[in-house]
Amino acid sequence: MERARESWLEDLRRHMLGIAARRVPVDEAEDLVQKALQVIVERGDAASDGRPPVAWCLQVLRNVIGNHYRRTATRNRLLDRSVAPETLSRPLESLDTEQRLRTIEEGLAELAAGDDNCGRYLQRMADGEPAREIARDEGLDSNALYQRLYRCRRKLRDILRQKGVLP
Amino acid sequence: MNDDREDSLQQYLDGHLDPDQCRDFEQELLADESLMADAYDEITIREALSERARVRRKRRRPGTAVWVSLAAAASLAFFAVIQFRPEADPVYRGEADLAPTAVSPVGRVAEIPDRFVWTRDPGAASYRLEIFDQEGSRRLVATSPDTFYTLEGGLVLPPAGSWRATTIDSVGIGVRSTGLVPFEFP
Repeated sequence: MERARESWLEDLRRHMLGIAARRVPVDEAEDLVQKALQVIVERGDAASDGRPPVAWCLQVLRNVIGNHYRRTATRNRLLDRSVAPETLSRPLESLDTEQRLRTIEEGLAELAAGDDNCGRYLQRMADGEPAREIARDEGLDSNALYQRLYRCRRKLRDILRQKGVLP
Repeated sequence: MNDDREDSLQQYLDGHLDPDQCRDFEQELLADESLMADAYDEITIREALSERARVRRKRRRPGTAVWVSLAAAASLAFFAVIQFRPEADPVYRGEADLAPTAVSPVGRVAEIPDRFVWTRDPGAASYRLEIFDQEGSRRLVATSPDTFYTLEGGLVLPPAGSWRATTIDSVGIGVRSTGLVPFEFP
């Protein structure tokens, strides 16, 4: 049991390292993954609130990377240090709230321009409309709506990758 | 990524896979670097969409002047109709922020429950119900657009265990829950 857990954590660490290393320099990536794994081991299932385990672990990593960028930005501000933007990768987690929202808006607008159904579904979901109401208005059953939403989210992901915010 | 894997990834993140499917999909995830990267990116996008929805809701809230006007109008209307007011249900402050609360089954019940019921969360797009046995293994995960879930005939409930209903918001993220509610039947 303990061995299986260790092997699971090792697989997870390897994947996390790959993800983190596309967002920060490799030595920092190792530290961040270590931090994320510490949270995962210490807090365990109790903190996952019913989310699937690997999804929760990835969420922890995303939060750790987001916090790292926020701390770095604060430190650079305090030291009045500026870094040439073209030398850095600019993942979504590294943007401040306004930039992140603007990027998402642009992504949604581009999505809607290519597929107005997708634009409409995601817009209505993001505005907080219940899925069953959207399905009813669109003349779809819930399963069909979810399936279309899946395709739409995938298109949005492709758009954001082209923008370079999902390295 | 092909459409089936994409669907599985989204269903997995929505909590729509049953425990066995979930376990199988996690094995697939851990064996595939690009699928794992897709999962991470998808989580990041969902988080950003959720943040956008929160900010838009906040910005849509009317400013102080509008609130003052609305309050004045509401006071006038209140005094105009107060004498004809029917007996009303109590309304509690902060109700809009309340997480769902378990209604039944709670604690020891006389019969095998066939329906799980909880109170409404105004921010819910749907709810996720999870049932656990005494060892804490998840025996059922299901989603419902309503504040109840009726068990299908095939499911055998453990004689004791716990359950939890979680509010799923408009971008498919679990935001609040009833907490674990123990149940037991003879």
